[in-house]
Amino acid sequence: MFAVDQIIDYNSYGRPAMAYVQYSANNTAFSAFHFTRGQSLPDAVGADLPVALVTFNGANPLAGMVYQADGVAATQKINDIVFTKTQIWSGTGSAVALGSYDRVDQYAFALGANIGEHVQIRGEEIRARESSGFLGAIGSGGFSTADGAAIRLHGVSLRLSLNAATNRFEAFATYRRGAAQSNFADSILSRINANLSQSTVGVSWRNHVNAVALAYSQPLHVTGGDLGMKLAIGRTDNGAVMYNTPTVVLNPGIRQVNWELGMTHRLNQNAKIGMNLIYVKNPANSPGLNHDAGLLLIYGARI
Amino acid sequence: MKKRNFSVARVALLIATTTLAGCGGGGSSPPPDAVSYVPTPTPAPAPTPAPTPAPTPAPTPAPTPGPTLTPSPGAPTNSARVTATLDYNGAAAQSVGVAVLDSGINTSHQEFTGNGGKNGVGGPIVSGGIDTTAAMNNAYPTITGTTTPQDSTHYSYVGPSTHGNFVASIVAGANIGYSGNASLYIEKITDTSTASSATVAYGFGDAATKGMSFANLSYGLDPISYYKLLADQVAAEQAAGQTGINNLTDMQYAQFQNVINKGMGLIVAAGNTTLNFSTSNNTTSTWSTSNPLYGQTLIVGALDSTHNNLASYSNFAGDDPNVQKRFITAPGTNTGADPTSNTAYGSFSGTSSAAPVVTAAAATLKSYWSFMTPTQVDQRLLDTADKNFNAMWSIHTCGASGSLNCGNYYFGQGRLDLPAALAPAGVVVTTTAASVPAASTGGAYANRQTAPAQAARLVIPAALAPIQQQVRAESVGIQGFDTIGRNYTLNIAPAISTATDPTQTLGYEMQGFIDGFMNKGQSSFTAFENH
Repeated sequence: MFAVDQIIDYNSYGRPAMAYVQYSANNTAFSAFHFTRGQSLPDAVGADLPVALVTFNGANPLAGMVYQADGVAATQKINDIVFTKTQIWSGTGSAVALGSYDRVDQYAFALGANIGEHVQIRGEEIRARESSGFLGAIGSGGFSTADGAAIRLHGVSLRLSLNAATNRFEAFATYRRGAAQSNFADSILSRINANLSQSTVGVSWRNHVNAVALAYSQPLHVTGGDLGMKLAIGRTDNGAVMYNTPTVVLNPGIRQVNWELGMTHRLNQNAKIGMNLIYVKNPANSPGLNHDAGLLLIYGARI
Repeated sequence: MKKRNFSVARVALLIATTTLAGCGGGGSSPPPDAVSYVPTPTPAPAPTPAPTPAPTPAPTPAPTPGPTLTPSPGAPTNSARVTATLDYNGAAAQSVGVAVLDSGINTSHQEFTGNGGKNGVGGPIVSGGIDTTAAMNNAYPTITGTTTPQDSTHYSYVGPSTHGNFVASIVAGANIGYSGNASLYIEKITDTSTASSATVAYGFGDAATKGMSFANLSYGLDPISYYKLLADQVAAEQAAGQTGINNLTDMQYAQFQNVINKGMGLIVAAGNTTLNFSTSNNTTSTWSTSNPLYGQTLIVGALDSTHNNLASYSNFAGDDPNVQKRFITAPGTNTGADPTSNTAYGSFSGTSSAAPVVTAAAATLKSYWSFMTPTQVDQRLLDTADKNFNAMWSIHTCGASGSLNCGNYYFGQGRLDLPAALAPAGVVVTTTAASVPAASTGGAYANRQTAPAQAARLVIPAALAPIQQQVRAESVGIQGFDTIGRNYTLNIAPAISTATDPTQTLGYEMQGFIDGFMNKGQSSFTAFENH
């Protein structure tokens, strides 16, 4: 007994924005996937909810910076309760505005448990490596660096779900924290140690016609740490360079908070309407703004 | 006995006199200071040389020095005076010792007593001096050619001759000195217009022993040729089994060896006889890059009052490319201190006047980057000499071959350009390397520098904007290094910026909704998870 499932999403240019193919048999499933910026994978707790026009960096906290990425995953059901999931992907793109080509390689392992029919909890460990940037992944403009960075996150997620007839109710929460570290031999920015955190809480409901979601999230952000500098301040007569090595504390300057409400309603097989309302407190990408908000009403029809 | 006679004959050859180089007039022994300067009768505004924009190629410089009457006030200045107040690490700059081998000075002149006798960086304008001839006689009383030892009362470096006073004041005078960083040590090598080359050699050696970085000689001696002559003679003596200092040749050779070992720079006036320096000194047989003095020596020609043309009287580099590479020109007419009164000044013309301008520039450079050896300083002055002031460099019809570049033929490496010498060599970038190289190994150093793009551009996430200010504050005073290892203070604050990610804005996100709106199904799938 086996099954093959696939999802392919296209963008407005007709190019695949996300493709996901899964082969499952007995207690094991393998998948291969391709995704682009802003597209999350379908089977993760706290995944974006595009069906309800709600999105956040929930499922793939470091995927926000890549233009595109490819990966594979394997899910192993240990017994009726416990399962593991291993995921590896590699993405490329430019840390925006840093001017450097960056590659993010991520390895993630999750140990999960399905408790009863309605509760899933899992812990996860994520290791990532940026080739030439530092925290470009957090989506608020990264550090330019002479070398890459190692990122390590660990977290826990919880999902409560209830299926009733054609309705599916879901509540979820994720929390991740970790650190990103770099050492640069050839830069005045000699070292960065950043503490990171991310959290999301949300509820959703959908049936075959409607989808509604409400999410509160704090995108992956720096909560503390420090950076070291190596600044040439002079030289001796014999040419030895003298350095000053100050430490700068990474004060969490801006902590962005997102509130997001989305809903869609399918009018028929060829028409949908949707609404998205976003409120952002301390938008990291709009320096100087304390608040930002957006409202989207959309009607789509397939001819 | 034959050997001894031979040796004596050579000694006689090697104690020829050297003549004043900067007194503007020709002849081997012009009367001291008679033509080279004009006393200042009445106070008046400081002289202002008026450059002539249109250079005139002059394949054959005409004679006539043409001294200029320059009325000047009690304390005029030369317009290009430079004082480097901070050294390469931002500390107070130190004085640079400069020996002036000349006819002595009037130590009471206000150019040497002004500002409390201190130069621009607090060192003594005149740190001391000796009567070089007397000192040599006392040091080598038994060598043929020296005289009876003299007591210390004869060690005075005070001289009635104007020549030394003018030269010394142009280097480091309190008001008219071109360098506010030089500290003079006076080697009074003569009372007249001529000096014994043995005394000059002793003066060089004594100056090196005293720790001088540079020695100015505004007398007509080609030290490279002369050293070659001495070295050949000493080699012949050693080949014959003769060792030690037995005669004036040995003594002079030892003095020059001391100069070489100490690395002192020699800055020498080219002479005022309108001669081809190469041919008149037969340099093709004596000058070579392997001559130990070659890299330590600069020969200075004089520019006319426009500073754009070779002065009519000045000797010029000539055919020998080795001479051209060590030849530089500088203004040949400068205001100097007249020793006849403690407040008198006059206009002083000649290569004797040009050489101290170059010496002062060398002292300024050395004061700022004290790690530079005199050889490196000399080379920097040569490398940055201006070649754009005269059309000679576009003419290739000079020299015996008729095909030499006329710029190099007349001006050597060009016109002294101190601002260019002070400016960075190549790109200045900061570094994270343990060391920077000596000036001669800039090429190897380039690979160890922090790449400019990495060092000079630092982007910080917009969400951490306060960090930007902290990083900027910490970076104040960061040093960059040029390709020869000299450091400069960089301002990298403008390059420390913050960046946002436009793909994380609301508009971009909503565009994503629009893009995929119709493709979103009402369900997704997971593997082995409860749903």
